[in-house]
Amino acid sequence: MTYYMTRHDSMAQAVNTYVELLTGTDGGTPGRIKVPDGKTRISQIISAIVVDGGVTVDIGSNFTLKLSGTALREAEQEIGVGGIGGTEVGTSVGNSLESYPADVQFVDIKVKAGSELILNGAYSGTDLGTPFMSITLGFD
Amino acid sequence: MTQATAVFAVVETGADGSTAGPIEVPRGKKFITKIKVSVVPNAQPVVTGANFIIKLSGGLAEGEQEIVCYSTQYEEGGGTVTSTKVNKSKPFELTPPGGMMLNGNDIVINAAYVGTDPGTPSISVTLELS
Repeated sequence: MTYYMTRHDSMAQAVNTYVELLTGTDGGTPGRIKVPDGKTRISQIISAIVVDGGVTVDIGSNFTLKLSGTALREAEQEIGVGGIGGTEVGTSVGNSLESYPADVQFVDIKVKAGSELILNGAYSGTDLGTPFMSITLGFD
Repeated sequence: MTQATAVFAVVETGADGSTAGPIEVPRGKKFITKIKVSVVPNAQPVVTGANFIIKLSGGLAEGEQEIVCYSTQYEEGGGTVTSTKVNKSKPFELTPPGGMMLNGNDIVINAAYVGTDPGTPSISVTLELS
């Protein structure tokens, strides 16, 4: 059986700096993920990234998720979860609308039930505003 | 979705506009084997981005679970222009490797968004039960 857990964070930090994803969907702070009983691996990483506000133009950022903590049977791992770029030509009077499904990556990361998993997010490139990262992990 | 950011609202409207309520699990169905979600801005969007999450509860053997499923991003230039834009997007599709075991109770679907209120998005959720 697959069990899903979700965390988010507003990424107000500078470029190339990790910040821990500790926020729940309700805005609360549920903290780090404790691997559910009976689960032995992360089987899916589902990610969604947006810029929470106006986008700084003519730059781009790639986003990385880092998994660490006592729950990992191997060392900490970094996984790319997508990128966002903005561009502008001349005097900008247009608009842009994007709606896209979250990305699903199938993985096989061994974990220990009952132990703690730490999620961190970072971006490389140039600061494009205030990105918002949402991550769901599927456990089997 | 007319609620504020970081607030779940129940998704219980049928495709015919009626209040269909939670999903009654058909006899013999034991697992959710696929989830499909689509989100569109159902009004003039606000300049911002939002990530969307569904929460399934009630009918799941392992308890309620939240799944990130969609993003929307709207941006405007500094000037004002009259324009029309069509945004056609494909649905989010998720196949749980081990399925999501059901307990026989109705499945309640809630949805929320995080980030900043993007306006009035509309969300559709399909569950495949096996």
